[in-house]
Amino acid sequence: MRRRIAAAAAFAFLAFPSAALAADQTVQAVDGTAPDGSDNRWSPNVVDIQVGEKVTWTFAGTQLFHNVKGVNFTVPSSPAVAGPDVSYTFDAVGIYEFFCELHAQPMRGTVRVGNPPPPPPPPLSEQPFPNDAPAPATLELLDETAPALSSVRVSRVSRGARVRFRLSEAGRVTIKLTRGNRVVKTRRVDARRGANTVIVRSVRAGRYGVQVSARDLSGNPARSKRARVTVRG
Amino acid sequence: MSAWRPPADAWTRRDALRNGFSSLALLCTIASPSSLRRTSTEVTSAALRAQARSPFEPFRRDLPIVPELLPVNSTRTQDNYEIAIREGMAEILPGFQTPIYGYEGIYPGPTIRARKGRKIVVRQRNTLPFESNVHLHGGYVPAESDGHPMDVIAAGGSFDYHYPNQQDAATLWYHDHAHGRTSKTLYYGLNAMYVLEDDLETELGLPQGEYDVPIVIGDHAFNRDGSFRYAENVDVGFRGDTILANGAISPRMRVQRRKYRLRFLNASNARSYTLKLGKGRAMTQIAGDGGLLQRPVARTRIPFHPAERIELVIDFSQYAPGEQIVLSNEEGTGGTASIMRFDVVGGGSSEDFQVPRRLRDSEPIPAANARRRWELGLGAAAWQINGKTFDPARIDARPRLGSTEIWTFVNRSNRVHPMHIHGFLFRMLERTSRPVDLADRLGWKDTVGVMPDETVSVLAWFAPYAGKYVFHCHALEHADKAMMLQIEVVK
Repeated sequence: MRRRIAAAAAFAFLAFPSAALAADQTVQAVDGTAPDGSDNRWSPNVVDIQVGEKVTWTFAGTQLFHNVKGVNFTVPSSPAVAGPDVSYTFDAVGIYEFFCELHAQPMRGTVRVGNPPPPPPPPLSEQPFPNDAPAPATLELLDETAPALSSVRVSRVSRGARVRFRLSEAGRVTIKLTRGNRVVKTRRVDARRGANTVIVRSVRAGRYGVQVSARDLSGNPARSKRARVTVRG
Repeated sequence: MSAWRPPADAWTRRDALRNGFSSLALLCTIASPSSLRRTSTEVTSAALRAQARSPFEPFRRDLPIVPELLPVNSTRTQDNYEIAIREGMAEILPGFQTPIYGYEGIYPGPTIRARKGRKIVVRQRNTLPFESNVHLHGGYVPAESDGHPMDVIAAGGSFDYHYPNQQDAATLWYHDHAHGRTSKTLYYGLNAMYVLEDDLETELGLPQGEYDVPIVIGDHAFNRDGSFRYAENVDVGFRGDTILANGAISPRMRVQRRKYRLRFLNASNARSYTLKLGKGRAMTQIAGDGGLLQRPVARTRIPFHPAERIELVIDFSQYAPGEQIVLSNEEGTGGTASIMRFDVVGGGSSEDFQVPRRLRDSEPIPAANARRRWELGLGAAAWQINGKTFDPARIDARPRLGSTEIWTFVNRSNRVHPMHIHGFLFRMLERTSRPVDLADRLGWKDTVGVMPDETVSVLAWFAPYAGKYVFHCHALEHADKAMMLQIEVVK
């Protein structure tokens, strides 16, 4: 229960932060230096107070004619050089505007009393919907696993050789028959995943070395295998 | 459904009410018009939303295939088309409806496939509440059909554009060109491809049909209701935080293990890209703005400025099923870094087509008989060429019909200016920032990105039609404000 009260107190503090901070405020009139008077101003030009608090407008130190006039409240102030301070106590929540009658355009300000409701948010059609998706970390997802070539068996057939092998994924297989260092026959075949059989024909009688090599579809090479076969005429 | 949110000054709320706001709901319920051949892959928005972690997550949707327009009727020598320029709705973010302006109400607009030597007449009906017109970008088109910024179709009116198609095969595009408004109307969807084919190209045996894919790239931003968000920036031009390819957020494309012909169009308002495949894999460029290059060029990085077109042949037979390769924009970050992804599926592999080593011969062109210098810069309140802004009552140059001229663009600003000449093509001569890319030297162009503080010289050929045309910067915010001059080609 105690924790709940503490939480409620913390919430109240967070929800109304200005309640603890606001107090009576002073607004100073400041002369501008521009020849057209466009930089005469109030300092500050927006003040936040609570209901029942007071705002004082002071003209001390100014060398131009100024006064203050409320748009939706009344303060007794007439144009003068370094005229007397005037104050007003605000008794109702709301937004109050004030200005100097001689410099109405640049010298405008606002008193925000209490916690006036925030302005309504813009419609969804005017709120940005930023793209929060990150850039892709990988620019390519490639198969970099080498295929495995296994169970290579070579047997003779009439004037040729039958080559059996297993390949762990689909790929392209090259079978070379060699005699000494010379390649006498080359066959390239598309092999499927699993067991494959290739018959190499039109081979003269003799004893041959057989080299089986394979690449998968993305070009990764498998460890090649060797065998021997004797072809009869 | 979200409310229609139009560009700020292209359309006012009062216009909307006067012209029948409520009819939009009806429009949106109509599926793509019957004259369109193909429709994009249909996936329900609920399913997409359930899968996606963010509506902007890339590679969630398949690349939409833009439908092709069918002629309403044909004669022995000519095809007649009809297009309504109208409002429409597009589902770009999953679960949201995005109001657009579109040719036939779709974005990108329907592709027109034309054949050299066969005339096309396109009747454009402007159902928008403001003026519009249509420019065939890169086409040899008589001045009256070129879409000069002052030749507009009034709201509710229509105009027949005559396209003779007497030029070699090329990837062209058509888009709105009403003066002062293009940055918004193109952004909201008024752009589409126009693919011109010829016999020479057919003989080369390049990939066709479903393996010949036009892809429109553009950068966009969004509001919370799913509508396009446009913020005018006259300095650098509009920059969105999301890349759309054929109207989908960085989509994926399932490709077979074979060669594809991909026709890219940069339809962005002002964004330049640098295209890169995977970690820098080779792409074969076969064509640019003005059609086929003399021979194919292997490229790993391709600078790609607004309004340019690039045709690539990419060989996916070197990849295994299941592999994925991203086409990225090297200059982008976050949502603008990835353009699309290629997902390799089975099939193909037994294809024996090779891109020919010669694509077309270079044609002889007359020697230059004039030089002109155009200084590009920012004036007091507007972008200027030689200190001048667009004035339709003034002719800024009068080239002779059939002649060539050396035009030198001198960029005195710190922005890129993609300079485009209407109705004519040019050859790149030299540029000061780097050597002219080989691919740019081997083909015709109609748009060249002039980099900051760079000087670019081109040889422009003022044939085959005389009349009033314009040339301008194709960063649309620059063109609208009013970086455009007028030329009259005289006999």
